[in-house]
Amino acid sequence: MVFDVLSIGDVKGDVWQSGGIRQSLMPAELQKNDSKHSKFDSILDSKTTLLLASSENYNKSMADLFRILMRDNNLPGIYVTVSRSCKDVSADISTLGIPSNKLLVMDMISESTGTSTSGNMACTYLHSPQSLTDLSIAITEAVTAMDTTEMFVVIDSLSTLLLYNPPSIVMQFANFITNKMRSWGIKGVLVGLSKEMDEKTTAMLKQFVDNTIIIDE
Amino acid sequence: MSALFNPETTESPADNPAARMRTAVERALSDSERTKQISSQREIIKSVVSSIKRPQRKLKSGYVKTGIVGLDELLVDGIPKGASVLVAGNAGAGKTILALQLAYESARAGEKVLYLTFEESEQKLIRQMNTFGWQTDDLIDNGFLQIKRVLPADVKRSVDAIAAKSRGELLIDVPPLFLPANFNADKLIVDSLTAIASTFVDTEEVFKTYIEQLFMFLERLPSTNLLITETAMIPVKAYSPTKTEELLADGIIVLYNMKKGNIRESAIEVLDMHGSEHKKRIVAMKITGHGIDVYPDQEVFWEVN
Repeated sequence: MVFDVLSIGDVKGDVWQSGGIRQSLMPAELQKNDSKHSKFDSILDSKTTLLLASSENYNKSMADLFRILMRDNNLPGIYVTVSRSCKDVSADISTLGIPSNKLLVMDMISESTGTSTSGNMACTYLHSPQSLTDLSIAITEAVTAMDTTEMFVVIDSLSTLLLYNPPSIVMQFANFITNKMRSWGIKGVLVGLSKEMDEKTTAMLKQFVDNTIIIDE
Repeated sequence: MSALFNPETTESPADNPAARMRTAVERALSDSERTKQISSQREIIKSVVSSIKRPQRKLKSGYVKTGIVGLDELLVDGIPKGASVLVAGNAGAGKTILALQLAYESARAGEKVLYLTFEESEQKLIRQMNTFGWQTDDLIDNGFLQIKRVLPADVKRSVDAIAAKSRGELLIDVPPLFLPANFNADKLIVDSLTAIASTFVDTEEVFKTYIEQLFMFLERLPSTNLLITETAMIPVKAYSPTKTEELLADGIIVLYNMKKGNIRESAIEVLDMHGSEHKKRIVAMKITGHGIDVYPDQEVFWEVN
């Protein structure tokens, strides 16, 4: 899958969870194109964000996320990938014109699938999508090494983690890591597929975060 | 991995945050995998241990540290000076590594450490320490660290003597352990009680008598003592061969290996430490290329079976 570089897609105003007043004051044409970008702005105003995207909007959402965090605001960060290999993620990031030396990719999938794990300086590999304790340690070590609040952590995605771990464990992890992010003062984003998560899971995740963005179709 | 920046560029670490983060993460995550599984029986065991009435013995004042970062935070006050503490866990959990690391760190801090091994040879243990980067030559040469192999026959001699004395056939006291003369250890490590128990075939009552004598002997020593004991297969019903050891010990540190799907994760807990404040939770532990790292603020994400 390749991030869609050019399109920001359509968003129904009634599912936008934050910045609704601002949206209604803007001309309709600009509203349509600006709504998604403004929506992602709320990530910068919040410590922890739950980003729920439909599968149709997933790629566009991730492109917008990296644009706002890295290209527009020049933040370094950590991207935890459970679905795609670091190699693929790195290639996609580079198409956005984002320098890779500001992004550490924590790859939870390559080792368990036997994909090559050698040769990429911006990647670190965990044993399996079940290695939540190791992931937590890795994030802690990396954030501590950076020693700054001007950074982000993106976990992509909780939906994939739920395929490998019991829901209670994923919720426990989400609660733990969002609290850690808050205590560090950094920007944290938990990504999920909106239609893949049941209401109970979504409701619980919403209470762990400061901000929720839903991009649905 | 020691490089802090991309060798293909002239970037400094400050310009390459990704590399800096990666270095820190790689250092934390390098580990060796072990196997075994525990269950939620630990809560049952914990309540059993807590309910056991211990003979109240007066511990020497003060506390000692292990020198293992993270574990000392878990212990808060430390191990009470003069205490005899069990280090329990199933095979491969890291008990010997923990004990060797404690021995190394304590000797490096200027304490005299005596490590009694009932299974592995001295040379093998020294080699194992060296693989973690713990240089032992100077510590041994300067008298801070002594590793001594104890043969089953030596134990049997003590046991036979203790049994004979109890029958009135022997009038002199024979110690349960023969310690090197003129080596007044600050820390004594026994690796392991399980190995000692294996020499008592079909004589559990005799072994219990020996264990009671052993703990009384250790109580008279000025050293703080660590006794390694291997737990049975999960679920755990006891942390020592006869449960007598748990009754007599002043504390228990438990090492876990949890099977989680197709991976293993390690953890550690201070189950009990008589007379000392300690954190009461299971926390993450990793066995890395430089030894054991304990993460006192790191939860473990396991599902209790």
